[in-house]
Amino acid sequence: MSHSAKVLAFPRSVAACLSPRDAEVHARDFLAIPADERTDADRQTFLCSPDILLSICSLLRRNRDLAPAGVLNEAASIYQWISRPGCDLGLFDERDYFLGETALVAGGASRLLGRREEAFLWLDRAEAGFRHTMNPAPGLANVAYARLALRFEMGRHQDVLELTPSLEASFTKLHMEVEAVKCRLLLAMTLKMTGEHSGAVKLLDRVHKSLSLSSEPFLRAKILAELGDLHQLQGQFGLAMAAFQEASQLLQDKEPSPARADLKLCVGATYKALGSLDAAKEAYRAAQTEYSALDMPGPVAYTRLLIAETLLEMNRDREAEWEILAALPVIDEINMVPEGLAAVALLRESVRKRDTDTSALKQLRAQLQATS
Amino acid sequence: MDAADDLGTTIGGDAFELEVRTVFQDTLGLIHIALVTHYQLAESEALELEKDLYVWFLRFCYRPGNQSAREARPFLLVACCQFAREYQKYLLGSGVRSSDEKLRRLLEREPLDVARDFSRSLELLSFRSSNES
Repeated sequence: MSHSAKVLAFPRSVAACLSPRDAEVHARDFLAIPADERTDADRQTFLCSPDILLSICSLLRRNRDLAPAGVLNEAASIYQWISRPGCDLGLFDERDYFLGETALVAGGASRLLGRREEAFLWLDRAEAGFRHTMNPAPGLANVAYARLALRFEMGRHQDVLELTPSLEASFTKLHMEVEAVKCRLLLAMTLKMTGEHSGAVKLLDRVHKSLSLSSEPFLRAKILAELGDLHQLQGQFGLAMAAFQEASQLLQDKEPSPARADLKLCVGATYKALGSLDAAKEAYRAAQTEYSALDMPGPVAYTRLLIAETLLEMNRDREAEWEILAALPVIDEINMVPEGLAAVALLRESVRKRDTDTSALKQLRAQLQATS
Repeated sequence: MDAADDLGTTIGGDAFELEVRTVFQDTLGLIHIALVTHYQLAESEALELEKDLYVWFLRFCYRPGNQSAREARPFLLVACCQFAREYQKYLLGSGVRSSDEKLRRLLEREPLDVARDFSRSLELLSFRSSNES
């Protein structure tokens, strides 16, 4: 460096360069410190190294679906730290990149927790971060996917049908194969919701057969669960159970996950279609336990309504009322469309009179199916 | 010893890092020309910036969505031009260095455009050498 540059101390912030392995060890060390015990000195030590931050983001992405509440807290607090005025982090565009990445993780976790408004805000922040990076396309495409997933959950199926093919093409162009597969899965789930079951089966069959996702057991299991659910909706119970069995094998030694909870839900639906109500109730209960472990209140409430419907069919009305009464406060917290609100009111009133309105229950459950 | 050699030993050497280092070394000639000839940095200044560029490029290639270091090469050239431009503007703004007309015009241009020109030069050079051999 020339003499003048030394004197002027051009603002550069080169942290010591760590190997990916060392960076991951430090990242795990940081995440192992309980959040309420972390000091600014800890943050300075760990978060000012772009290598460690890169590894932290990777760990948070991997754990997002398994522990959304914890990941949201971590991602949000790291974002706050990086976004504070005067934070000098990394080289060139790295501060903006990490703002984008932590906000994207926080947005995804918020969505899983049913906090939609918060999720949209996080995604806006992610977009703002990625926009200023050297190569914004992959980050912005991931933000677009997260927004589409939110729209799907809000029941805006036509929007998803219109916009997903273009996004899938973007991912393919960027060689982001896993994300392109996720788009196809989202499209198939939307086709299922709009009643185009055979189109959804064709799409998922192609994805499943062409897929080399050995390192993506959760995604593969989710695809199989959806495929099985579509088969059971078409009355092909043998094919459905075969798909569920394959999915179950992929997840058997894994920790609780939305994919495994969804699978149990699909198995419950198949048992119900076959008339095995007790087995259906048990499968739903297992799914509910899994969603509870993941701290996902929306799906827990939805599953309670499925259990209530099943209990009513078993003439166990009183138990069904308990399930509905446990679900309603959570449903109140979720932003619902007017049709859903009317069904909640009807259902609450009928339960109060000890005469559950089954059509209101069905309507509310269908509404939640789209939003859970 | 160049920027990639200097840092390679501290980073460790799996296949991905080796690919990144190879791509960086393949581009280093052009980077050096950009820094010294066009942005008029001193040799020692260019060497320091090249080290930063390597560290940045390695981490950049680890970001999701960046599949291959070779495909990421245009971004390396943009980063090179951006950092050189900020560095020179900083020195000129502080009054320790004076500018000539050529440098002033270059600093007015967006790094993306300058990097695009360098990329074209590289393509032309590759085309000529492949035809001559």
